[in-house]
Amino acid sequence: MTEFDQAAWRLGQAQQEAADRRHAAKMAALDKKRSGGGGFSRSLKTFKKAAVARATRGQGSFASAGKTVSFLYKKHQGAAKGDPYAEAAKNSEFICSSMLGRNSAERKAEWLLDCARHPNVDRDRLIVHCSISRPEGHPLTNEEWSRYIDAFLEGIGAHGVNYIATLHPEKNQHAHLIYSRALPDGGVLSDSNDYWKGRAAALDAGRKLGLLVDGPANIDVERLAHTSTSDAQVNAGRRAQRRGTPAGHIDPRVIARVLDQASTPEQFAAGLKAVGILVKQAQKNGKTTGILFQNSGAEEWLAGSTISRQFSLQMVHAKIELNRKVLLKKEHYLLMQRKRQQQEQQELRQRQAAQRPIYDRPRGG
Amino acid sequence: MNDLEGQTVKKLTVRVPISTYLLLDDLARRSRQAIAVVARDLLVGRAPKVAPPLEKELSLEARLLLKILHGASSNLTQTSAHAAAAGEPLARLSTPDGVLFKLGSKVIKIALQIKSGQLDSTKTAELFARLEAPARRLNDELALPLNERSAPSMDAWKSVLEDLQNALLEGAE
Repeated sequence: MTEFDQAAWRLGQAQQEAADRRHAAKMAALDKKRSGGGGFSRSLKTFKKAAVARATRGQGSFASAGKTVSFLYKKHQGAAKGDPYAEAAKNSEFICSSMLGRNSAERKAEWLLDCARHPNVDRDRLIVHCSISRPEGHPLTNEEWSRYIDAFLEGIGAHGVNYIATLHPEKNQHAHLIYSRALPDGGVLSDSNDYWKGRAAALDAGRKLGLLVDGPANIDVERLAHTSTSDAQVNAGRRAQRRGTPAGHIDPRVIARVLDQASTPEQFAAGLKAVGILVKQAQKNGKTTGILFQNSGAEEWLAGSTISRQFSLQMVHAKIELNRKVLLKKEHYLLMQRKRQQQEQQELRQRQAAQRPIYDRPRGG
Repeated sequence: MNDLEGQTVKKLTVRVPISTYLLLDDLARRSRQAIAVVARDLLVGRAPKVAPPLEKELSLEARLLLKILHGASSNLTQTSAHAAAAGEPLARLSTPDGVLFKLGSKVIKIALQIKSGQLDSTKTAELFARLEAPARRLNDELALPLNERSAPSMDAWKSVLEDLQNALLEGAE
């Protein structure tokens, strides 16, 4: 038996490791060459995407929205500095305010007073700075802005708060609104989902005052106007707006109410028809693949599962089956109850008959 | 407590008499902080800040006076704009050194004092009694006619502004 040559083994291991390192370096160089030779280890696809993004910066959807949306709502950081910022801009004009101060320096004391009243709320979150823009060529007068700002604040529930609105009359006329979330009754206005609430309120206020610019661009997400507005419904609403056809929102609560009462599919369909919603089964190659709902008047059919998870075909059938069983059980229970009552009445009559005096009993018995 | 020297204490339970607890509770309510936060501040030698009163916590006179001051401030701003547009000699009144700007600053100062609870009820009642009439004169005899494009006379300007100035100056003392 030959002895194990440890030295040779070690040499072989070292050579193998060196060969592995050379191979790894070669592969890394090849990867780097393929990715374009940048300082980052990105793939070619990511690099091209970034290049395209840089080339089209400023031409994306937000930039085009500023040219078409009637009231484009934006929220700004650093709310505590919003007042001096809005005032200091060139050609800025005062629109309206509920505060005493005539300039940002005088108003600072009032903002600080609000912050002192609510020491547990961060200053930059208590004071909100947002701006609302008009599309180019559709400016509003100061009076219209004043009425609009009142309606907007009412829409977000900020009635009676300290606020200042300043106009920047540029190509895209816009108003900077700085308001405090400290309510007059001592509470603090909730800032949960405030971007969506502000966006919806911006369009609602315009709609209420008849200040919307005509066109398909008044796409309002309406996520909070209706509860549980799914992405599919929002996109369907947008498509309908672009087509110029009515967009029927389907309230999932309405379907749930009808489904609770239905114990057969026919009852379900009839109940939905009564509230203006049509239902049918989705078919593919002769097989039923799902359930579709349509608001009467709308063009699109929406899949049940995209309205709410509880309205998929399986869930709807399961619920109807459950209702049917509950109904059967209820009927069975009522039937048993009636039989029991009849039996009890019969027994009572027999007992009463047995207790009558002999002369009062019917003859022959 | 001597055992705790040099150590960082994260949680400490302290028993206090009920009277002390009630005082702490009152202080916590007025500074709108939790009672534990107030107690901790006191232990480390920091005096908790009493938060300014909410509008609903102000007295009736204070709220009425605030309403008057808001109106007066707004009227003074409008009047200043009209004076500036009217040219000399009225434009001099609307400069930062002019009487309209100074009156406006005085009004704002008093309103902020009321809102932050620095004026007691006696002073507030006194100010309310002094300012009610001059503020109404400012509104009826200067601001409204100017809005309706009818120019009051120089005497009316002088009389109204002097009236308001006297009331505010008396109130300042």
